[in-house]
Amino acid sequence: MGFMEKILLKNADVPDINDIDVYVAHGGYKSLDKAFQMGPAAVLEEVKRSGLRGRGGAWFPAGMKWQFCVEVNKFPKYLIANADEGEPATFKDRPFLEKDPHQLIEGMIVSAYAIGASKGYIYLRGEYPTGYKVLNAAIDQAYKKNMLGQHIKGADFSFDLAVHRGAGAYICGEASALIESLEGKRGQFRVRPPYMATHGAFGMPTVVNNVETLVNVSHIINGGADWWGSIGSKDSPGPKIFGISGHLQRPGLYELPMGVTLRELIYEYGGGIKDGRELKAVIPGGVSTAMLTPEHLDIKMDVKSLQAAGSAIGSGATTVMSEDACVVHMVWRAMAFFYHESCGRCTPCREGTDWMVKILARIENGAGRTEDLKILEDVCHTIHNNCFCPLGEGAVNPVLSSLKYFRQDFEEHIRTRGCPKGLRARARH
Amino acid sequence: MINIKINGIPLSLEKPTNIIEAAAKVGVHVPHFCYHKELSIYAGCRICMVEVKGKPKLLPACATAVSDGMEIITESEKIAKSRRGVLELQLTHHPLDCPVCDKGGECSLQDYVFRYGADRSRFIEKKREIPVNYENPLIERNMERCVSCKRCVRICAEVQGDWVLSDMNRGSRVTMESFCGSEEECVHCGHCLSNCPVGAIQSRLTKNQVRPWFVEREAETVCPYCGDGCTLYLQSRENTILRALSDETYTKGSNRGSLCVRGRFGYDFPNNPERLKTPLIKKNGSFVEASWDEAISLVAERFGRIKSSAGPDAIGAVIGGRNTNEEAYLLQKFMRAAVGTNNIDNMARMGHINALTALEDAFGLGGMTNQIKDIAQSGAVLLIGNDAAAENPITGLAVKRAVFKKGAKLIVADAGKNSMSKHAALRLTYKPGTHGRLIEAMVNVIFDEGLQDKAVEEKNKVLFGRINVAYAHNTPEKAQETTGVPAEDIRKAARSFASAPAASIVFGKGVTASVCGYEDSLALADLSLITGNVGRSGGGVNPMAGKAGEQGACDMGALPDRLPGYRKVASDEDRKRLGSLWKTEIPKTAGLTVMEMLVAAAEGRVQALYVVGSDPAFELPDRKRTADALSKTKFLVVQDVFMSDTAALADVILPAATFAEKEGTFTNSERRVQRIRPAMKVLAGARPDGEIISLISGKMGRPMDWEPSLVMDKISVSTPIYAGITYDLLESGGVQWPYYEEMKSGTAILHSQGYDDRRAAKGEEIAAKVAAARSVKDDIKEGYPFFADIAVSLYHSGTTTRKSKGPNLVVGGPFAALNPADAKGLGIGEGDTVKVRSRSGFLRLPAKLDAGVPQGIVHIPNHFLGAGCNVLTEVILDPVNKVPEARYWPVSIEPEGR
Amino acid sequence: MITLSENTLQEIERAASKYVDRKSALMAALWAAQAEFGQLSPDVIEAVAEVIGVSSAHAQGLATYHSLYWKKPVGKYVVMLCTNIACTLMGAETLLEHLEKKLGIHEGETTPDGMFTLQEVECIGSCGNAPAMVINETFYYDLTAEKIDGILSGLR
Ligand SMILES: Cc1cc2nc3c(=O)[nH]c(=O)nc-3n(C[C@H](O)[C@H](O)[C@H](O)COP(=O)(O)O)c2cc1C
Ligand code: SF4
Ligand code: FES
Repeated sequence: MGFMEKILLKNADVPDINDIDVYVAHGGYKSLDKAFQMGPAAVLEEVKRSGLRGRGGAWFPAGMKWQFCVEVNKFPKYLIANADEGEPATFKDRPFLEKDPHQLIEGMIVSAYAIGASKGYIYLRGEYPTGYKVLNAAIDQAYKKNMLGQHIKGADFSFDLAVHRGAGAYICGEASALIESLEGKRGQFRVRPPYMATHGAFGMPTVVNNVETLVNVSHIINGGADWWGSIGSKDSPGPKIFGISGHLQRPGLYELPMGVTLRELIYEYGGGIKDGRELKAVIPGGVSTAMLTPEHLDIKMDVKSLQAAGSAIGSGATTVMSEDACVVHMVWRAMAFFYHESCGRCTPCREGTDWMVKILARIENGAGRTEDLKILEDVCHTIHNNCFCPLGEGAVNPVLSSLKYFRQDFEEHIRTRGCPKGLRARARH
Repeated sequence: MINIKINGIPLSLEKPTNIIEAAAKVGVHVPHFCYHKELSIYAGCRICMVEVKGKPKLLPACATAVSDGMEIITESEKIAKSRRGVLELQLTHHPLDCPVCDKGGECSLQDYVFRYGADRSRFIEKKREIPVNYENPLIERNMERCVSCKRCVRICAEVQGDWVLSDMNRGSRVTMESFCGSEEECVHCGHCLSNCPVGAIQSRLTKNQVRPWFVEREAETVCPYCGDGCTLYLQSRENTILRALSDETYTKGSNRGSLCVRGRFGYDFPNNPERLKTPLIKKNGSFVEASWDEAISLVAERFGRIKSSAGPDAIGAVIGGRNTNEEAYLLQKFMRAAVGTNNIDNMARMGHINALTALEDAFGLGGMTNQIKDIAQSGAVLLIGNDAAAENPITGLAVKRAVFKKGAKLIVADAGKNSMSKHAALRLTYKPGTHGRLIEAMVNVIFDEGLQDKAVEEKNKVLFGRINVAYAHNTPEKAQETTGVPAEDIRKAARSFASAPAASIVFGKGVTASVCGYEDSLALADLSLITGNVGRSGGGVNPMAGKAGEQGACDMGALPDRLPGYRKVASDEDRKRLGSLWKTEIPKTAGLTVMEMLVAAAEGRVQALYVVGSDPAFELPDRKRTADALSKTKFLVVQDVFMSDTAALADVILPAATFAEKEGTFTNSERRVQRIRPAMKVLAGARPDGEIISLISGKMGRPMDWEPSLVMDKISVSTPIYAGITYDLLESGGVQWPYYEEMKSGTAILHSQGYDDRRAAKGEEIAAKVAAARSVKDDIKEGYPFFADIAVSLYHSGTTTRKSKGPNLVVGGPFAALNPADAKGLGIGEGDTVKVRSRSGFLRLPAKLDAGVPQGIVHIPNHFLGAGCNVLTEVILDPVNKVPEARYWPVSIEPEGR
Repeated sequence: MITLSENTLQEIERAASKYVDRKSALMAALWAAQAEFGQLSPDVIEAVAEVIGVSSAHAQGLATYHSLYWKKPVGKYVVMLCTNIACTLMGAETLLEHLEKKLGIHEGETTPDGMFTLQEVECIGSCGNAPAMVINETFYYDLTAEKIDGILSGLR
């Protein structure tokens, strides 16, 4: 398997592609004309037919989500691009936010057209200050060229777009928490029903899609659903940007068809394990997904295959650990993240991540007890059974999967009273 | 119909609800921390998980709506395991300090741990340490005990509408705090503490003093402090009040679970050692303890002697706003039947009476037309001359609810500070005394722009025409000159009021306690009428009574020109009807108002005064003149629970029982008759007011039953609007008069079937009066550039709050609040002493800077001994009801430095 | 109470105009105020709350919910080193210790001269070039101790 022809990242190396004229010169905003010609229903149909699934982590069929919203007779409707990109080790949306903003804006306009949304926001994570400037400038340009605003390019369609800047809270990437945050509240999961299709932002029908999802839309319109759907795997087609990190020779972003195997990702594109070491563990889709082992290398990176392997494709952020890594240390660090980011609403997640990070630190630092592993499992089950937002679920995955595949590492820590690699867990506040 | 099964018990529901509520209907309690039926669903605690047949995972009972055919199991090993897991996590950081926690015995966490046996903690890490927050004098917050249910934050925001609390930080570092942990914006309503399921938020007043099994006696009763008349529970032990609690079911009375600081924290005055405990008789200028026999005989004998020597009209009586309906009834009956005079009045004379008579003249009945909770249905609210959040806090909540939940446009019109302003869409600040012009101009705009209710107009053409003519002169531009409110704002106010689907008017002493109080109340009635808001839910004209007993005292005919039920002394028929019930002849001439009684006393025409539960020397205008008149009274009897300025001048003092010691009823502003019940025995040495009155009456040869339920039976016969009301009927929640026996219901909204249009008949006469009595104060304004706003504070209502610990911990002394700009102009800083001077006297007060006080106003709460505002005022009466001008008074302000 | 500058107020109004409900602009307002004052001290939060029309407690609740609003004074440069898994795998923890030693402060503290605040942060989306850090708004990638020394001395 070689490198595929780039679709999403094709502009990556074009200088000044953030300038609307350069972007248009490279074929940008073409999908608008086509979409306006087709009419919203046909655009929606095309996206449905393509099989596009959301790239934010849950992989929900985009067309279906839109359909729910289209059916609600309440206006205005909102389209929100989820640019919170908070899942650790995920950095795939960043190119569109900092370098190639018009690709996102174009995708949003076409999507909004299909949904009937007249207002849009890009919910941008606070950690991307450059993105904030770039996106705002691009939006200004787009308004000037009447790509945004009233009667876009003379069509009977108006769309306003603005950037809402987050300020460092992972949970705000969860779609309903994102909307709370957009409304000026503490971003926390909303109880459903009511669903966002009927009661989203400001009580209005709302669609939240990941940046990468939206970017794909103009390509589907331009190239047609058949072409687009023929790329990659059947169950989750299309091109995908994989961000690979950790102990690799060539970490970075790779645009590849869905269904590429873990082995290809790591050894072909990532250039293999750093310093020629052995592979120890892989986190395939962001810290919230279950760890896998070298045995799983031939698994395909698509929704179904990873699910079958007990993990998930998540954001497609693959992190690789060589034999140099301490799994306990990494699980502790992952838990430190969840402890830090738990919103504090559900008891199990709030107190569970707090307890677990303390236990894991204790194990790593040589004061672990055998019964701690049982406690970890119990707490994970309490979280799994009782939490209602997937953050808690995410916190469970690294613990349970590592206890499943690398239990002996934990036991060794407990037996030898410390980390064989000499690492220590720092106190967390 | 939704048919479901809960633990095998079948249940049919009309409307969908969540599983917790559904289970409660069949007597099944589903554990919960974060759920509260008055609040939005939070679903965070995760203790309420239940099994629903067909669902693989447990579901949160609070956030799951029942649907037809659902089979729910609320207890099983699977569920217990889940709850144990959650409780173990809940307990990781929770201190196990139950022995020293006041929540012991009423703590949900304790109960659930006991029930599910999550008693052994595997948590060996260090627990969170968070210092206890003692910033608030009444409420302590111990965030180590918090279970993060966020009920306190949500109740503060969603019910109280104050947003004083927020959850701070994130994850397990979350604490529920006010801004920087301070108590600055807190109104001390205590909603947060009554809603905390554990011991994280508690009353400091009861610290280490109450355990539920300590309580010997509990009474469902009514708060005595304001006209809102809140249902509350008093608990006592060894004849001492332990604490006041709100209704946990959030269903009862007008307040439905809410209380303000006075009700929740002002409960302990009955315990105050300063209570009067024995009758006192003044001998040679000083008080000597006397037996009840001695005191009663003396009073009866002196009243009798004066009656025979100077005639019955030489005796007068006045009753305050803290007494029950039964007591007011007995007192007026005593005066009319035993003494033989109509010289009986009550302290609603200080304002509320103006609203009642105006409403009676307008529509035929003298009472608030709607219901407190109904105000929450309004699409627009005109709040005028009433700082509802401070004076009538529960009404304030209803107004806020209209704003938050209905998106109502709130128009706050006031001359002085009004803490509801922050919720207002429009704030109109008029010059003191000019509110009438403002109202008239609103009516003017409505006719001018054709915004009146056309359907109502169709039926009341003549009346509408008259009203239109009566207000035609007062254009917004003209009103701008007199009131200082921009004409455009008046127009805006008129438009949003007239265009709302239902618009209510809420007003109080700022309107009624003035020389035009009657006319201006009428103008409000007109405003409501022409916009079609009379008899409409979410509309109406709603005057606020200042004290718990004011409305009732008027209803009971403790008025010189009215008999029980507002029947008229002047009417032969009314007198005869009552006379035949009482088997006596009711005196024909109208009596004197309290203001007139004092003049008569000073002139020697009135020789004896019987003052029950009030303190005229403190409350009535012109301290010197009042005190002078009281001293000149030959025989002054004061019946009260504490020594007062008036009592100090008395010849006989009769110690009375407090609301916490007796049976009776109060009628609140919304005409709701509600029972009070004793939470303790009558303090040794004191007696209930009813008993005292009846003892005197008996001694004078006219025995009367005083047992409250029997008195109520009499009331229901003699007082048409109370017909059919009995104690049994009032068992829970009370009834709003008029009560209709046939339909077994009170009346939530008056005039929904139309109204008795007396206004039309009296049209011209009243229109003429509207023009009168306007600029009375102009001559005393010269040289006094400020107006003192003689106000009610949230923390006090008068004598009794002064004797309660809680309110005084927050506001313990007098002050003069000024707008910072005014203060700056005068070189006054926070805490400086200022001399507030009027033509007749002055007060020295510490200054407070408060941007909420309009310029030109000095806001002085009138509650503190030694700082009674009546040293500033003189007597100017409204021509209709003889209500004294008692709210705004021209003063100057002089800085006196630190 | 602090008054916000004309500039900040304008920025807040611009943000507010983007939403049907003014409260949505609270985050933007906190950002703008932080840009002006360098931190969100209580009086700054109070001023922002007033402008937006929410209670101070609500604004503080929002400010304390987010990691990137500074509730304490920070140095001229805020050194935010990512220690999330990708960076940790690539040695971020050693770099954190290096930074602590170099700056003479612990994580979360500010140097006495007010130049640097050292802050450990969650993933900053630079995992392909780990370890990475951000100083104010500038990203630095593929860090080593030597690189860090060079960057810091460039700032001093
Ligand atoms: C804790 C949490 C964090 C999330 N963060 C992100 C994120 O940063 N970006 C994103 O696109 N989706 C994120 N999601 C997923 C969103 O909830 C949502 O599914 C997604 O934005 C929908 O877009 P899509 O259908 O295009 O994937 C997160 C979900 C959870 C539970
Ligand atoms: S003072 Fe008024 S509002 Fe407060 S609790 Fe008592 S009756 Fe209710
Ligand atoms: S009561 Fe249901 S989660 Fe708290």
